[in-house]
Amino acid sequence: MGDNILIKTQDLTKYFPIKRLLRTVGVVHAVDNVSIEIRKGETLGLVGESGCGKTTLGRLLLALIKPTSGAAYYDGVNIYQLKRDKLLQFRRRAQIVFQDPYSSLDPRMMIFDIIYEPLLVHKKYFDIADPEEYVVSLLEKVGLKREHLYRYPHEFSGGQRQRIAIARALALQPEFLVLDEPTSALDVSVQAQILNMLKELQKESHLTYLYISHDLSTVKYMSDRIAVMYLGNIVEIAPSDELFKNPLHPYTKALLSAIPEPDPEIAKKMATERIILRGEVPSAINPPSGCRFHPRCEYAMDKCRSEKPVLKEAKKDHYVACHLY
Amino acid sequence: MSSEDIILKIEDLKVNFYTYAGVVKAIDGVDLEVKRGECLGLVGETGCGKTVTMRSVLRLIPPPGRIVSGKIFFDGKNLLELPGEEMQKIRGNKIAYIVQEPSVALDPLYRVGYQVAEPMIYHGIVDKLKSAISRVLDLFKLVSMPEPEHRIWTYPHELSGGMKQRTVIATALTGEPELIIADEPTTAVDVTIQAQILELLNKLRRERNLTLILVTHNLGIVAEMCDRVAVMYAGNIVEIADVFELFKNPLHPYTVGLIGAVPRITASRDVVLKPIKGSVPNLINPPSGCRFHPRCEYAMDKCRSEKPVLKEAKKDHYVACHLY
Repeated sequence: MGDNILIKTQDLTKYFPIKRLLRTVGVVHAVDNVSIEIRKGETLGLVGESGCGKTTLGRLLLALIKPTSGAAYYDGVNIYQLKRDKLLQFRRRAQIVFQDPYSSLDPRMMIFDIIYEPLLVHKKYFDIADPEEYVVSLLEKVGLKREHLYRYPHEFSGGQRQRIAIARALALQPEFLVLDEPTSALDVSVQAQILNMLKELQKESHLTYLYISHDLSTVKYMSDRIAVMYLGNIVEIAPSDELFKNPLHPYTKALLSAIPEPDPEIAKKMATERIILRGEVPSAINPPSGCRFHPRCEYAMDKCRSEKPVLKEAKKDHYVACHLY
Repeated sequence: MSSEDIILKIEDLKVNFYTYAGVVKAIDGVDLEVKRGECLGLVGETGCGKTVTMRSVLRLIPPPGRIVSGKIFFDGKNLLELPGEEMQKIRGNKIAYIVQEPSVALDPLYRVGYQVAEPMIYHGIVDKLKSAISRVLDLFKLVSMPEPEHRIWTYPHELSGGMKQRTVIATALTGEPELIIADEPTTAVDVTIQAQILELLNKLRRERNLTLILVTHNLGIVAEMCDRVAVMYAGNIVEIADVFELFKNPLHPYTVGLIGAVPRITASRDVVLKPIKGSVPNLINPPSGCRFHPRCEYAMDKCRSEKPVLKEAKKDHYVACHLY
């Protein structure tokens, strides 16, 4: 592999301090010792429940926030040590599509200005001779038309807004896109349009995606490999088909069995065999000792309470952080 | 099917919202029968009128909305003609409603135990708060609330999303409801908690022989929980069938589109999703004829001019489409 890797993180950790009266009274362990690799041209799915640190990890990979400790290498360069011009050049190559297209587009800017803004910021290194034609070509790429150029966001439906957000992310011809739940605000009939479009754009422009979602069925549809996150830790990484066929971590197993399949014959049978996790996700302020999943795990042993499992290769290309393996 | 078996019958319900932008015809002639003891799924996308239909049953349409016409029979009585006091005896007592967002349903200023007890006192099930509390404790145990004795005295902000939803379900069970309407009961919680809530609803149905109407946009939940399904689109019911029949032989092009547009965890990645083109129409100016025609690949001239009515295409399989 070697030079096949686009992004590599090393023990990436982000704690958010909780402040009361100027004193730090605790920290939220949002992302804890995450070491992952994203390969060129692949889609890595990142799945987990709300508050597990998916979005924080996505933002760390774009250097939108600085880590508490650890490093992330983009094409071999530590992105947290980049300064000014170099950072700007990195940002041109790595972009993001946000979850909610209702709040990610400025209501007072016209579509042309929204998509043109990144080009203005990066004028120094990315000069476009005819901005209007260029923006139109972007709009056409995402299934919109020239006539939409001088309208405001409120004139568009949710699906169209997300297309605009995607056009903006593509404006600088990036290599890497973080897709942070790009369809969770959309209806299912529109969701399929956006997912298919993202897949096609990836093929056309050789993009690398980090696809963040809590919806395992869309993650499966989009991803080559999938990383499962629980309370700030990556607990399992495997190729998509392998993960669904052969989940190893008890949390992954429960997560997979919790998804109701839209087919009554399978769903009604699955419901009887379902692994139902007891209790709720613990607080990330005082995470459990040892393996963070142990209070909800039916296989928990003494070792799980005291010692934190590390991610290791259980099978070829299939990594799991669990003392069972 | 004798009329005895029908617990709820909606006939030609029409609901309008009178907004400054114009009249929104949110519900445009809905007919629906719910059988005693069944679980009926009501599916559709955002804004298709699922919630408004169900709120009409309880006569809880907020202004500027108004029920324009129609009949809703429950226990042989037309709910839309009942005097307000009679309606209050049914609402939250015989018919219970579980709302989508439990954190909005609970009052942040009152302890949750009191909020569950309140309808019992109101409906005269118990006369004193003290005896109500012991019943609340029973209900909390029934809905598998963790540490129920302690939770009674907590405020909503101290509870997690799953526990709040359990509180709301406990409130729904305070009367002896015959019909429970659950409006997207799991959209506000994570999948592992969703599994817990669905298990709880199933348990309650079995033990208490309840009729459940499950409003959702998640086809997976429908497939798992329901016996029959009604599909709504832009204020109309477009198809009603048994759950196995609906997923195996969907008739309405919208239902076909909806089923083809959802990704499945058992499917291979190479199966390409088939989205429905366009998006949901604005109901101030709904499309003429069949409201689905601008997005339908089979649209004919007739679809543009004439509104299809719900008819029985096969035994117990109803569809509103000119193709059948």
